[in-house]
Amino acid sequence: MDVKGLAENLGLEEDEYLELLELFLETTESNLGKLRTGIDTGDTQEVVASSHSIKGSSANLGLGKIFEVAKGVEEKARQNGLEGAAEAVKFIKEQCDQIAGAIRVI
Amino acid sequence: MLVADDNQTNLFILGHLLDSAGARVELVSEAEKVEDAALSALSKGDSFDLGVLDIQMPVMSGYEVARRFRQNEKLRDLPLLAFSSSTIDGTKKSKEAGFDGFLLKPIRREKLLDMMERLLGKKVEESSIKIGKTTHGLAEGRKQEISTQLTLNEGIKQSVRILLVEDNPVNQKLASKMLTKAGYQVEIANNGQEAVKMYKKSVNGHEGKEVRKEGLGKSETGRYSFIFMDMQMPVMDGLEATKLIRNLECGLWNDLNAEQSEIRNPKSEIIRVPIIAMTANTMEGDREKCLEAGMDDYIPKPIKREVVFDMVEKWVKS
Repeated sequence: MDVKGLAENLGLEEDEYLELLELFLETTESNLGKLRTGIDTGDTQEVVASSHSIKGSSANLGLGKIFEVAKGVEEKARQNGLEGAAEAVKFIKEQCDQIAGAIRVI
Repeated sequence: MLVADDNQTNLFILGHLLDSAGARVELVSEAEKVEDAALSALSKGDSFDLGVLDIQMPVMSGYEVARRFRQNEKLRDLPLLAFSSSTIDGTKKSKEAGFDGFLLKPIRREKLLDMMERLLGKKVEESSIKIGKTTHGLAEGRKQEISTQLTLNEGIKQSVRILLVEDNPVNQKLASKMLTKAGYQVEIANNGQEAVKMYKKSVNGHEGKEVRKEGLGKSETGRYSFIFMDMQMPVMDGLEATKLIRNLECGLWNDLNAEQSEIRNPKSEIIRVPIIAMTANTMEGDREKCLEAGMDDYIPKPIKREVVFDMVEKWVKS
């Protein structure tokens, strides 16, 4: 992952960007938890709120794949749909694990 | 230091000022002799550290002198400060001619010395694009920037207080990092309700007169210069918060009128804080909704540094 490039895009130093990534991983972890609960209980509002949050922060950090998937979940949930949401959670989780793996060896 | 001005009085004053500040100064009153003076000092192994050039000189303008310096390999890197009494395009022309700094006459002693210090230390300080380094710097990206009075006014910058209303912790941190790095004061509200509370607190305790004196963007007494407002937030969203803030301001406005105080500029935004929406919703009509609720402008998300800074500059100046 091109931490340097991503940081530059935002006008930040690498370590500042890494700090934001850590925060992102932390908050996304908790959002994914809420997302799962929302899916399990059919609470689409909860799904909208947590996917919206993931969408917003991933967009700002330039994490395109996560952004796209979170956006899809949010849009569907706004129409009360939850299809594909569970897969999306899994995908986002995997992406986060990858990021965590990458930034912790830098 | 090399100082050039065709006006002997100015030259003398400037020379004296710099001399008293501990600089060794060489004064030149004819523009066409400036380059020779610089070259001659160089050949003696005692080159100048800074050139201060008056712009309006006969025979050859300060711009022309600067251009010549920049074309001369030996003088290319000498920091140059333009000194002008005309505001028209001064910064732009000076920049194009190759100046590193631009100041308008008359200038206070401290300002001049600040600027010199800045230019002398320029090579050390490799800062990224900052607001205050004129819009040209921003618009033209990485081109060399020119220091102006604005750059010097770090004080003004630091007194710009921004209320950032955003629930997402990552975005909060990102935006506040960007802004504080650029020298602004940032305060954070986690949702609309907090924002309204904080805004209320910021305007309370300031009597009308006091507030009027401050003016926008130069707040030192706790008022916000403007607000960046996220739209979708838990507890209270951006639209609702904006409406409440505008209502609050209406109340203040009426209080002021009731006092029969002399209001010099009735249209003044003094009790209307600019609110800039941050929105990911690019759907048609969203912009209108923001404006209807009483917002002044909006930036799309994800937030981009240039867009944020352009916006800050736009609203701080107004």
